[in-house]
Amino acid sequence: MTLAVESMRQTVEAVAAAGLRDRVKIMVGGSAVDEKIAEHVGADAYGKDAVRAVALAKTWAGVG
Amino acid sequence: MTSMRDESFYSRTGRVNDAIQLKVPDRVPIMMQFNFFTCRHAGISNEKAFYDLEAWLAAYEKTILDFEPDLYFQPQAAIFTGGKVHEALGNRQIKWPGHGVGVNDSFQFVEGEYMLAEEYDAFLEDSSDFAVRKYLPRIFAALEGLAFIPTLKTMLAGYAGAPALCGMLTLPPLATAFEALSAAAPESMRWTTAYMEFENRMNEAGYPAFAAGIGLAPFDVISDFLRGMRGAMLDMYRCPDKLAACCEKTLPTMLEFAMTTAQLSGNPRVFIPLHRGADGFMSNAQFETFYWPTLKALLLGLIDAGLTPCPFFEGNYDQRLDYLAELPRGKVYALFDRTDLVRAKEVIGDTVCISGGMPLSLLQAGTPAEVEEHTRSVIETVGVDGGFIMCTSTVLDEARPELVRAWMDATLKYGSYR
Repeated sequence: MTLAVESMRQTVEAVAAAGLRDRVKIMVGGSAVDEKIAEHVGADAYGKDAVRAVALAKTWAGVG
Repeated sequence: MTSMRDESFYSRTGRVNDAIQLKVPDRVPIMMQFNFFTCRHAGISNEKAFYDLEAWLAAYEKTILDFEPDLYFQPQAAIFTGGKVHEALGNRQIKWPGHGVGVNDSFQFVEGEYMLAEEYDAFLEDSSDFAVRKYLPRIFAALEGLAFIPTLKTMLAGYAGAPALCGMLTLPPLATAFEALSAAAPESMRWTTAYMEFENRMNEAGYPAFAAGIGLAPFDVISDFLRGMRGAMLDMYRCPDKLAACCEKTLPTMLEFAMTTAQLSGNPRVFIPLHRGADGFMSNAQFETFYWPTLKALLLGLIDAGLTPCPFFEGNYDQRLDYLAELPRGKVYALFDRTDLVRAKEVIGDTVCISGGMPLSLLQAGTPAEVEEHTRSVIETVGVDGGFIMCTSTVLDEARPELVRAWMDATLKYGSYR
């Protein structure tokens, strides 16, 4: 019930405005969002649950 | 857009009832979970809605009249009561617009371990006593003094009980708690009364509310409100018997709560938002042990009382569809979020009315053409042969009005059964 997609978009924009966007990776996940929302808010990836988040982080960190 | 101004409360209710009873209505009914979308549509902030009852209900009414749904999500689901009530009580269990979250954000629930694992016995012994003397002081800052109230069992001390209690009420912490309750009372009643009047007014205008009554799965009462996600999940391993006993104890309380809230309004539909039973939160074996028995009993109890339970299966329930097939035919209005509805139609389409189909993301980030195409596809698969109510995966809060319009238009365009 407590959705915050606009806040996610603003957060990604704030990271970019601070000049940090190319130095960080941003993922969104959980039931309230999907691939389309990841694209909409400017995140790098979507994962459906915490397990998927760990897998994504490992890939990004090159330790998968 | 097609006008439906000649529709009445009875034509919309009849269409919805046909779908719930797995008959084929004249067209696919559409349910809109407006929530804070109403504020965006009417141009007021979510914060204003929490503090200006008249502006909030005017925004809600305008949105209902502009979009003309067959069922509208009742405004209490977004704002149970006004910000002044939460302030007077020092509510720690939600953050609301302007008070911990942005002025245009939804409220957020603050989960916590409000009951400790070692307190299961106290809860099982006397849940009312636990609620008043332990729970309320934890979740409402202004009610901390209730921790000092004598157990209500002492009221059995005949002529001495009430006089002894009165004396205790002079203790400063208790006096403060009762003052806070008194201060919140008129505002709370004002919101409750206004909501009842709003529902009556919308009924007369031809728009039935989705539900008025509300209930929760007993496991969710324990997990959401008392032990927290982490606590309840650990308890499935560390104290499974006590957790299961707590669910059993909570069942009659929830049944009574749901029936009372429904019977006050005359609306037979009871909203049951489900949280922790989703795929990914527990295994099917755990679902079968801890979640499903008391949820099923709650659903059957409401059906026995002549009511229509409307469980919202938030998240994904792909693994659980066989359990839902155990329910009686044509008595349950089941809302889905991420579950595969094409498969749901195959497994439970002849058991429960299926509602959902439109991912909120498409109404936030899609195009009108994508929305129309998806609507057509859902109606032609899940909506075929009735037993289906078009709805979004979750509340419309941040949806774009032009895409909501496109969705409504497409539902009317492709949703005719005649």
